[in-house]
Amino acid sequence: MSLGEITEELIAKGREAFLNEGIEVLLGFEKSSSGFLKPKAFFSPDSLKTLRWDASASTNLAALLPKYRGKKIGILAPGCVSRSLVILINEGQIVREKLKVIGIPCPGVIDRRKLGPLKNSYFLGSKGGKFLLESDNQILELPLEEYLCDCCLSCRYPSPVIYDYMIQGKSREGATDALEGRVKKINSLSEIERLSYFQDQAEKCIRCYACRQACPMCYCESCFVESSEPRWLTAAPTIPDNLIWLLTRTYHLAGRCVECGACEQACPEGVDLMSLLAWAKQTVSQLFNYTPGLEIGERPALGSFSYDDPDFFWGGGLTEEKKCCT
Amino acid sequence: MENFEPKIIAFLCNWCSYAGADLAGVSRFQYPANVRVIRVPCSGRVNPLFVLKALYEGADGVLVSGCHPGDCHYQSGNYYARRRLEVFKKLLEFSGISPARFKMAWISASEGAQFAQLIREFTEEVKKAGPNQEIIREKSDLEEFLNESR
Repeated sequence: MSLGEITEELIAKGREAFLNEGIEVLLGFEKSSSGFLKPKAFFSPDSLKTLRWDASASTNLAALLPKYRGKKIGILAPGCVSRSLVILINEGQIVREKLKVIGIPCPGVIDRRKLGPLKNSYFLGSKGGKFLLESDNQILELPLEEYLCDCCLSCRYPSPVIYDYMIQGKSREGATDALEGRVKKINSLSEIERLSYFQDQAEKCIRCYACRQACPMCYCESCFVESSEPRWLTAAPTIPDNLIWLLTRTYHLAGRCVECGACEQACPEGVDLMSLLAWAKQTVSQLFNYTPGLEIGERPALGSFSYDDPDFFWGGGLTEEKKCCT
Repeated sequence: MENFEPKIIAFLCNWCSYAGADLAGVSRFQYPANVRVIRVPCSGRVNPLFVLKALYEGADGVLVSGCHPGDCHYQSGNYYARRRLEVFKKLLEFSGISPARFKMAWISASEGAQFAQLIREFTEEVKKAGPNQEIIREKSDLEEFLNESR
């Protein structure tokens, strides 16, 4: 499948959604000045000429939805975005009927950081398993597989779980353990080493909250970090403050994160956010056998309970007789 | 280090654990005086941020205690707490904060003796873990000065 076809098909499907389904806005991508795609809201079928999708589309478009709440929205959705949409529907943030999903079988997106010295070159496009960069008037053809972000490498749901239209094509196969490997590496450290690893991450963090803005699950209108009554954190980005931000963010996303990797891509300081989130996903799935964003109508893992959840509380596991007859 | 007396914050649910702590007092069970009790309506009310904030402001250990499963005054608050705090405790462990600093327990209104036992055990554990240095707030020079001159 060449790049031209998917662009034409996208624009055709977008037009159809505008004309037949009456969407008011289509969330998609267009080329930025660096060639890498940037998110863009299209408001009319005629504006769709610049609509694109390729391997540099690393933003999760579902994060833009709260901005257009109440409107009938069309959205481009590879696997992770469609799962974010499912969670937003389950949490009552959007209504399925007001959503037209253009599904994209996702071959994965690149991690700009992995490009190293090439990260500031112009992104021409991706085609098959390759992508093209222009650097110093030279055109480089690079293999996609080596530059995919860790989240895409270990993605188990590259095809959309909900969609109204589907773009032709093949999604990526053969998920690796890139993220699991990162968690395993941290788990193999001692307690003190783990603490100093996360303190190093917290030291890098400048608390710009780019991760929060990039995340479709962080839709709260007021966040605990900005609350002044109670005031949980100081504004100063010191290590303990940053650590509380990173930990609480992870806790709030446990059982909700779909591992799209948008936060890590958005982070200007290269903080290791995905290790924490991948750990949270593993833990929730081990404890409660739950994978977020696969089914409409599901309750969130930490917003529900089961009578026979694992019980590690002190004094737990008391029998009925012991409890009542003191 | 020898005579380190840890500060422990205990979030006790109004209906069981707080009454359990009261019973421990009324029954004159001895337990260490390191614990400061905060009464909450239900263990389900405990936001994990409470725990982080307590550590951040200088606590060495945090205890959350509620009614036994099945006994919640609000039917299901402790079941929610069980799920959430379980994940949160594991998160603290993963991030390298000593697991001894955070404990969760079930104490019913009739378990005064168990409450005293729990506090004895927990205080011992926190003493072993030493003063909290993992996630404590950085004090300003002025605060340091005022503390010293006190």
